[in-house]
Amino acid sequence: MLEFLSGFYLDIVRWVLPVLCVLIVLLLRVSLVPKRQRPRLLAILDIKGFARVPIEQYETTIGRSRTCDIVLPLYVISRQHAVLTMKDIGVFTISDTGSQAGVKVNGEVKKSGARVVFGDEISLAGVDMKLIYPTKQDAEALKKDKKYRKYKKDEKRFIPLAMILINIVQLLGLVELLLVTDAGYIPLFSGIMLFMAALMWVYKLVSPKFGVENPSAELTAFFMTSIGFLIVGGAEPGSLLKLFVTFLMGFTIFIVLTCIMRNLDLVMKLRMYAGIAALLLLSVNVIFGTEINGAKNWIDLKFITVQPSELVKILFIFSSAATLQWLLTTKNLAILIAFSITIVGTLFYLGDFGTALIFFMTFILIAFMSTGDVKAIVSICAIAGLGTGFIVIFRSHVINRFVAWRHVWDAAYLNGLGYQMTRTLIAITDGGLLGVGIGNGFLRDVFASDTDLIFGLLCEELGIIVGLCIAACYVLLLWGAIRASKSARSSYYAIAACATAGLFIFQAALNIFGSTDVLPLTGVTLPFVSNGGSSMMSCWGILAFITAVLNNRSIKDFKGKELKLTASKQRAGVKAAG
Amino acid sequence: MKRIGLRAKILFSLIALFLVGFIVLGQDYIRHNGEWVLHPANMAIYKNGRLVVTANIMDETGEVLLSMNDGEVKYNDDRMIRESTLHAVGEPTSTIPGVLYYFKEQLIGYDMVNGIYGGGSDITLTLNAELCSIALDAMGEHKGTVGVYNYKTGEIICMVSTPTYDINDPPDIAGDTSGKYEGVYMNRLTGGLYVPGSVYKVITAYAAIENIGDIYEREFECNGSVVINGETITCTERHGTIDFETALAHSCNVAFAELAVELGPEIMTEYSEKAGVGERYNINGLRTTASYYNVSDADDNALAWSGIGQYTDMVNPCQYMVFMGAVANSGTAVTPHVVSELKSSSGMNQSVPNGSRSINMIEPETADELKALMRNNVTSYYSESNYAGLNLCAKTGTAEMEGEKPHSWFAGFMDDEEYPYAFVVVVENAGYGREYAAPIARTVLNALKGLDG
Repeated sequence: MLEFLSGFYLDIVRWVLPVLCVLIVLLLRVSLVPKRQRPRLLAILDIKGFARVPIEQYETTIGRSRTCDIVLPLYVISRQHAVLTMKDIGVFTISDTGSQAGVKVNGEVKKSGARVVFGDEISLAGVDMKLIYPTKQDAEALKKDKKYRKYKKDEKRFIPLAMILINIVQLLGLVELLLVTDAGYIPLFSGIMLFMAALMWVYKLVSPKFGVENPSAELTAFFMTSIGFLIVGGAEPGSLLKLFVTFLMGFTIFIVLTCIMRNLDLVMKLRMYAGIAALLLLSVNVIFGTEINGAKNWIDLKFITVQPSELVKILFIFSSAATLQWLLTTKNLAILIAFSITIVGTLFYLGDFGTALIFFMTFILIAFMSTGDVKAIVSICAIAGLGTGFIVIFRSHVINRFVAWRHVWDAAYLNGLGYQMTRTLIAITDGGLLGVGIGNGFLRDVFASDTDLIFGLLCEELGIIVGLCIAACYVLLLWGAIRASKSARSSYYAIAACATAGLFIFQAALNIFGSTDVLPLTGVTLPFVSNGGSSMMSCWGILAFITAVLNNRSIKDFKGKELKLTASKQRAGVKAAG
Repeated sequence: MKRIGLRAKILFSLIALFLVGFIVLGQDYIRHNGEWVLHPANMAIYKNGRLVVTANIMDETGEVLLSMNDGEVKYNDDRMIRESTLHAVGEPTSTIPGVLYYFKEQLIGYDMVNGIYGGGSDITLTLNAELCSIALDAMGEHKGTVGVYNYKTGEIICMVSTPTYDINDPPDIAGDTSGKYEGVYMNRLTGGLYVPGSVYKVITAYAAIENIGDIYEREFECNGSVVINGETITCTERHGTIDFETALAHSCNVAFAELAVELGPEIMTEYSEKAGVGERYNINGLRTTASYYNVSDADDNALAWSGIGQYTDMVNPCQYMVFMGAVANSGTAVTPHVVSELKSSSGMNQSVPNGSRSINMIEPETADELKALMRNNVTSYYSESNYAGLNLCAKTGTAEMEGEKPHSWFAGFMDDEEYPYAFVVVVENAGYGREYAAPIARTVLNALKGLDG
């Protein structure tokens, strides 16, 4: 009877889950990637004899170059002359970014971080301008701007619906899992999944208290993590509790980091310490590391083995992203490069080829976002490519992966180097679009099916549609980060978020395409989904960077009503300054 | 921030690359998913090289020929049924690629939407297991084949190939030196290729009817042999002066040798091709071996031999059976099929791939003339009393083999609305067609009519 019922249940749910997952992805897109940005006017820069320029960004570059936010096409102005940064309501600072002719505020020569409030006179190489409080006309004029025309008021309107659908997926999936699991695990699995379902809502209700108005990135992660739990619960039921605990740790790191991220001054102060901590953590790893599967990047803490390199990800992004003011006034980026090379080099030394590659990619993303220097980045990549070439030659297990690449079906590799890839591809095919049901896949009997090959197992058990929905989540996160970057409160958030989302999609690509023979196998986890404790922790940790860029578009007190509040607050700012 | 925003936009290229990856994966998948799912490495459906699915293969009456239950493969309990349907059903490791091989995807129940979820389909064959047993019994120890199919619908009701063996008690085939199991893995009906002998005269007659205006007024002089191009072609006996109809009924070599020479190589080749020589029929995925007729290098003597089914002529029994079907069915050949129904585990009927199709092979008038000739063969020469009630139209063949006994052929059809069956019987190295193949056909056809009536 039970068998009949469970068969009947699966017959239906295997159709329902893919539909729900597609809907969830579509709904999350609305809030994660809003069509148009919200109009925002922070101040007016009245440039004498030139124009009244609305200040719409928290960080505004001024210079002769066409890539500056405010372009002053005068030969006396340097290409990148100064950067104007909003610190608080109505309080700005201006920094000279190495200009020829200098910056004056109220007649005094200033270098870095000079305070500017409404009414202050600024002079760039004799070009006089005044920071003034915007009038109603300025606000009206801005609203007519083409880029705001399609702004839809509430991009967050589908969030509750998406959450309900995620809850349904969690519950339907839980029942599907319980039907195949040992009776002993039923209370644990039910507890974990119900906790996840409830935690989402608690988070949604509490998060505005620490500045998160748009929790769509976290919801995306909750969705992926829940799907991961279902698959891991079916394949390695004994390890789900551990994975859940590491999720809780990662979630805690996420909350702490999200709170820290609200205060950019604090973040900029902590950057250096984070960098030092990253190096320390890695040196601990070098000294005390244990070798597992050819990589010495594990530390055995007796009750649990951790990969410090995963935690270094958080510190690495935290310490490498920077504000425009820092980027434009700090001439020497060599320290960032040296820092990155040390970390990537150490990981290579530890034999963790996959993680090193991910760090290298993250470094490239941060370097590119910070400098925009394509030439330098291409040369770094070329050097790295050569270096990788040597590593490939000297490390036989790495070269082996290249040997079998795109030849995994050859008789010579079928049951050897191509074993995991061929089985993954077969599993994906077995699953079809709808999957054979949790716990019914054959791939779970293959080594690393819940980590390196989890995409195959996911597709086999829940179907290709759900697999593609998970893949779409990484696209959404990066897309959302890119969209939010242009109106981010600081370049710090933009750089950190883009690096994080880029890391996710890159790591997902290595995992998915490595296991399906599109790329050589690298053996990395699928972010948020794989059964890897350290990975789960770090993914949730760095998610805070994406949350930050989605939510720190406005200064905390604005509560989304910038234009109106700006008036009174900016008056307050004037008073405070006066 | 403009700068940062622009740089961020460049990261769209990462998304693009990610999508390119999926396009590559998608292409691999679309191209190869059928191979992947059937790959012996697919642990979900194979254990130790055997399919581990739940599905049945049944004959037309619902008799289970093979049942697979999660790794347990069970053939029919009756030894004769097992042996006689072995080539149609196939062998689990595909040494004999029958339905088991060509319907793997359906047996494991694979489709792109559901994957392998839901288990396999039950397959109903057009075969009648009892009739196959009777045919196998009639073949005795001889090697050869018996094929019977419905020339209106294309359903193969009997497909037996000998030698065969009992899959439940396999003999030591590899170690056998007596030649008893020579070519045991081949389905001789679909894969065999034999010297046709006199059955080829029907094709020569087909060409003659359409190309020689006064063919029925012709008289042939048979003195027991004829010299063509300096070499002798012998006949089975001295037929004296005979007409076209009698020449076919008595299978006069002299008459047909002369006709082949008169028709010439182009027309002989053209009509061989019209009759299906060179064609490979697709029987639900199983392709028949093409018959062979080539007189491009033949002199008149060789051409003459080719017209009576010798020279280099090679005929596949199934192809000839289809040609017989076309003669019976007013010139329209219906290609054969062996699977009648696919039922998924949820009870849904699925479409059967590579089923029968119709070919306009012969002009209707010509077909009817050929039918009359073949009917005359039976009534005037083979003795109607032997085939009472069958309304049989047929042709014998005795294919001379260098240094061996001739292959014995008997092929034709029942001109019967209720029993529209064409048949072919080949008995290897046995002797005269009338002596060996014809009685087997008679037994099977009688059983067929008796079965239904």
